[in-house]
Amino acid sequence: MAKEKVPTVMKEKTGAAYNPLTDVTSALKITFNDYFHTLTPRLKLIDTFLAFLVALGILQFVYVVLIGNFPFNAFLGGFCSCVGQFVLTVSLRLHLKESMLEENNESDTPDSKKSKSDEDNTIGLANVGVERTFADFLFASLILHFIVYHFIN
Amino acid sequence: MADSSTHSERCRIAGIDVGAIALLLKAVIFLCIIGAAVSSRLFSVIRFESIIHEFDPWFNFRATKYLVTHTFYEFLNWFDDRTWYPLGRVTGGTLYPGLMVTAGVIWHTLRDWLKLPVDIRNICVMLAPAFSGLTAYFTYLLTTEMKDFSAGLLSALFMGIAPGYISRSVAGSYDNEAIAITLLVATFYYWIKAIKVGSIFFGTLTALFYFYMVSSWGGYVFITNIIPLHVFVLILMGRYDIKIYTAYTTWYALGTLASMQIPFVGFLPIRSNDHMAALGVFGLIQLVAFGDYIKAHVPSKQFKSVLTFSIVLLTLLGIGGLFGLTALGLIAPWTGRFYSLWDTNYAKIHIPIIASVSEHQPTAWPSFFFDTNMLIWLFPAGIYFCFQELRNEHIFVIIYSVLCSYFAGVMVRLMLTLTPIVCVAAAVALSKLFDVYLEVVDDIRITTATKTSSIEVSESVASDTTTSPKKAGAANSKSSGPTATPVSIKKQKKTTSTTQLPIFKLASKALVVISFGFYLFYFVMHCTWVTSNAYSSPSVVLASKGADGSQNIIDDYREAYYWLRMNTDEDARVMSWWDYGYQIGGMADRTTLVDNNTWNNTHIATVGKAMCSSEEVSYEVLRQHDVDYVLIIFGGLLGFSGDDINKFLWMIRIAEGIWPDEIKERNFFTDKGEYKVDGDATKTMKDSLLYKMSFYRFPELYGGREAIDRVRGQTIPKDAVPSLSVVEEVFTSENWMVRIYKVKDLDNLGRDMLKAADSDNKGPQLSKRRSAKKPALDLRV
Amino acid sequence: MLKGIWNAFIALFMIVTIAAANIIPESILVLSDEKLNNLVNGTDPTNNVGRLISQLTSKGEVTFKQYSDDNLEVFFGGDIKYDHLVLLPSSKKTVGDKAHFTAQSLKDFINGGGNVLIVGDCDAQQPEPIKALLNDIGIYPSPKGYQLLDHFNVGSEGSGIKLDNSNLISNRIVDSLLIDSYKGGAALISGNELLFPLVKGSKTSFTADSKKADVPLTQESAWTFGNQGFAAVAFQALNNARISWVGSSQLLSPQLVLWTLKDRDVLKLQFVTHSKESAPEKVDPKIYRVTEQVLYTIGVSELVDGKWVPFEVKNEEDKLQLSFKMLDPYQRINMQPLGPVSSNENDSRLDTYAYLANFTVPDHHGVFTFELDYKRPGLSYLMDNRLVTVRHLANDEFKRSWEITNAWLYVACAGIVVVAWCLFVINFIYIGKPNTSKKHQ
Repeated sequence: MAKEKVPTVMKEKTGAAYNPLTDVTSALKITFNDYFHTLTPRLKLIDTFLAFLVALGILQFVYVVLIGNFPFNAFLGGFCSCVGQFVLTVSLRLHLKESMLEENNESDTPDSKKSKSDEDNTIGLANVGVERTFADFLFASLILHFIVYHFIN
Repeated sequence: MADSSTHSERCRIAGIDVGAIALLLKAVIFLCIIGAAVSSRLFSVIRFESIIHEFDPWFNFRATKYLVTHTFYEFLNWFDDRTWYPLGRVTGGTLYPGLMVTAGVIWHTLRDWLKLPVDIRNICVMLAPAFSGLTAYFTYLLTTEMKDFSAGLLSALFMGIAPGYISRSVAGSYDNEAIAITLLVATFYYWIKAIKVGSIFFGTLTALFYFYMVSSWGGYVFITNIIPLHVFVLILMGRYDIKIYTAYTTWYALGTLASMQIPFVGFLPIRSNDHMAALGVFGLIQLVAFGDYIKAHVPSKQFKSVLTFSIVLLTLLGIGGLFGLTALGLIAPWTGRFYSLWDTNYAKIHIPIIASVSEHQPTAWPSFFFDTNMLIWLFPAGIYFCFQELRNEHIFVIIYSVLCSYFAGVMVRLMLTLTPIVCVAAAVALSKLFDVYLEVVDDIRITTATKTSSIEVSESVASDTTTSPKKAGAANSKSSGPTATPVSIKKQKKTTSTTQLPIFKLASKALVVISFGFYLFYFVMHCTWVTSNAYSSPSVVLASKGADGSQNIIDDYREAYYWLRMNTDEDARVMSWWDYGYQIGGMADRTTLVDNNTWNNTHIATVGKAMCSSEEVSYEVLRQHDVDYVLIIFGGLLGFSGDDINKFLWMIRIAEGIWPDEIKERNFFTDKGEYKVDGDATKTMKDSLLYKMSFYRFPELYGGREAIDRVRGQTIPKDAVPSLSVVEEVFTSENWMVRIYKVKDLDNLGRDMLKAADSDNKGPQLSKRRSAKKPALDLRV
Repeated sequence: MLKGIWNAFIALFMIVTIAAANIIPESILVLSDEKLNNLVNGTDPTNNVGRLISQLTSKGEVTFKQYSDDNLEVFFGGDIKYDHLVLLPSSKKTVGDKAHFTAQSLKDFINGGGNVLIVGDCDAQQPEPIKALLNDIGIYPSPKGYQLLDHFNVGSEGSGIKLDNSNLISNRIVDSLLIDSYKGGAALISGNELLFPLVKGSKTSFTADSKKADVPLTQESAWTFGNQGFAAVAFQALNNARISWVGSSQLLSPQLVLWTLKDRDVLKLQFVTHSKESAPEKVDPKIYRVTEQVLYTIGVSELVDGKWVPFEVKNEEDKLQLSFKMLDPYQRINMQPLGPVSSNENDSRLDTYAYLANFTVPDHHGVFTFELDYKRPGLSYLMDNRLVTVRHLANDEFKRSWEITNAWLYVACAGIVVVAWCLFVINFIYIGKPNTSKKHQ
């Protein structure tokens, strides 16, 4: 997530042409702080992994731009494995975050600031535990890697 | 149905949980539905025999036979040198292998594990009905997600017998669509499930079924576009959440990667425009996810505007990039079939070959009613109910139905994809209706409950519970309100004296329920009638009613194909119009020049040219392509309208597209602009090889009487076809439907074919003439 | 495939003729008119016809018949009754056996593999069936009474014209020509590709009615003009049956007779094989792969004095060519001579000359034909078509990703992702436990 921010910040800046720049920067700053505030070891691990995947993806993309896409299937295989793993991991992370929030909700007082959609989420995810999500994640990843292996051949 | 389940969950009958009974009933109902679905598809087998139908199924059948007689590896790399002579076809890389692999797996399973040596042909014939049962099941699941299981059961029933779907899945219709519709519905079901639950697992299942779908049918592009559209609409409606993110990204990442494993699809998913929407939405959802992440932390209004701005910007960038890349040639532009979806005249103008397929013609309005009957007017009602609830999955139904209604209107063939959603929507509407109008018990209970005290309520409930099985059964059995209501009315009279009897309400309900019962009954009748009459003909074997009402089987096709199989060289090359390519390949097992896989327009045009040119020109084409036999379909004697003379204009048009200088459509019409085959036919027409082959010796058949072409209702003059020089007739089937001509060898004496035939025919007569006249010859160099 | 049958047919036919040459003497039917040539009571050996007859009798069993005979059947139960027909001039236009001796029966005779030698005469007729046959193949002899004339080149006897090597069209059949006084007709010929003229008239010659010398020369009165008049024409049908026509018995050179009776310039394809260069031991594979290297070998023999000997191509234009075609030739190669070989494994006699073509299959899949189409005037045609399938690369025949250096990075990345993923999963499980427990506290 941390890495992904870099290109997006640029976008925000272009958007800020007619929006108060300060708003955007402060918003980002708050997010940034909040992010470090809520970081748990697990999330940290996931984020490291994500950053690694993004780096790998960018590396391949740069490579393909420089060298040319001759073994196109190999490039796709390599690149897609990064992207696929990335989105799967992001999904995992989001679920993890949700279930954590859920636990907080159960233990602490309900957070009144929460938006409605978040509450919907927590209800929807109540029956999907972390273990289940993780198992799903493993399942999907295995399929992904199998296909990539097949494809890159 | 609705009553029994909703109201008696806590009840027990004879010590058995009512839930269990409901389950049992469900299972029985399911078995009945599947039974109905399968058996209504067996008309053709009963009427005719266990035979593969139509055209495309013959290819699929042939490919399946190849698969089961060879290894999968050989199948994958199959280079078919017996079609598209001499180009050949990289069949393994240009087909959707899903259907054949499915049949092959079933065959191997039956043979190796169950020790049932079933003929592969029977598996192919029965595959479509078997999968229709599965379709019904998945439709049930899908509709259950939309509403409840009563709607699900209704939709399963509809799906099972809707003629729109039956048209492509009768026994013997061994076509890609046979399993593709099942997979379509299954994919959609798992997609809805994934959206609802938000688990990676269902996303993965969606992707896997999507992969299966991609491997079976070109129509997968429909899924590829509708799911992103659904997500896009949801995002626009502000309904984004992590479940959508999970479902979509999982599906896209895995599904796309998997779909690229099919050789025929290859890199299309990232190259062709048809697939770009999915990629765009994939990118979009990443940004939305990031935005959402920030939003969760900073709920500021300014942020929202920033977000909207960036979304707009990105969409513009995406579209711009799309056009840019297309212009640069990096992304394949949309295919012709795609254009013809938007502009119905496009194909007519640009690609006659697409327009020549009857399946690609716009749908006639009656066929909507013909194919779906009452469902078509329940369909908007179902959509209306979806709007009322408007959960994520309802939005999906709405998008699907809107898109598909349009497409089905444009192309007859897409009626097929419309049918599932029509069934779902109609089932939702109908079950909603039944929910309201079959709720007799509730009505009574409510009226009672409002008028009595709480103790009485419990009593009445108790009494209700005891009698509920009876009522439920009554209501269940035949939606027969009138018989059930008097009992309850009397009882209510006893319990409460002040109760106003809802007679009018009940009567109106009864009326509605009865009328819908009648509609349903009529629907079933209609489906059966349509199935047995319109969709059960194998088209390989024709049936006709004799004057005395007896049925005659016209089996000319198979007679001719069998003749080819038995009497010609194994490697003989048979030229025919492409419609019959698959059948010749499948039934006669001979090499063909063109077939229903119309991948090479030029080659088809070549055949068209050979058919519509004069003999000399045709002969060159025939020799160049090493043609041994020419097969034509002639319906003039029998009155079979789908013959080659009626398809002739397409041949001419397609050939004209390639050789505009040599072939001109205008020359085949008389001065008055009529398409004539009788004495008024133009010279070009009379000289064309197809005309000659069609009517060769035809007038002789009538002896002295007028030879009438029964399809076109025109009289063929006796001297219409004096001779054939470059081909000779070798076979004409019983009803003259199929005629086969052999292409003559080059003349041994090096003469021009026409001259050779001429002098060989008239040889003796010529010699009597005294000819000391000097011949006019070109100078010899 | 038809071509294949065709070839088989030709081969069979050749075998038959060879067998006939070796075992059964060839049968020859000579048709004549006793008014013109009395062949029954012996012939004058100094006469042209007499020399012909003696040449024929030395070759095979000769049957003499008159055009006026009632039985002139050339078929015997569907097969040709004679190997060769020699048709001498006649005084009448009609024949005795109108039912059996027709243009059609003559054509069938040729289609059946029989050879025909037709001798013309300016003072005699060509019976109708023969004339029809000649016209059909594109030879139009001048009518009775017409004679090839040339005012600038009068023959030694004062009536005919002189023909010498300058009148000879270069060919392999007749190599020299000298007739002091040619007295005979000339023919017009059509563009039939199977025809090849041997003797042409000089530039100043023409063919006209010799008795009407006073009639002015016009398009109508003259039959041929200049080079367009031919005094001897040979023809070889696709089945290698030979026909030759001469305007007069003067042109009956022994070489031409030998050629017509298939005693010379007869070629035979002894074998045709093709194989992959990578696996030459597997002969005639049905399937090739694109860009494979192919060896195509043939062996050609020539009949000399009743024996098959190696046929070696001497000059450039007679080279054997192979086309590898699918609709259009993708490859067209001159075949390289390999040397004399034996056509039979058990026989050590070197009776065949082998030729080889070594080439690369084009990078295009489809059904290709090895087409050998050798048509040289005078020589037997060598025709052979063999269909093979050229398939595309199978899915595992492309270069593997790890064989391409470009792809190493991608392969490595995909591998790294898997490794990283494994690490991640293990760590996740280990870290997860304290994490959740901490939360619960």
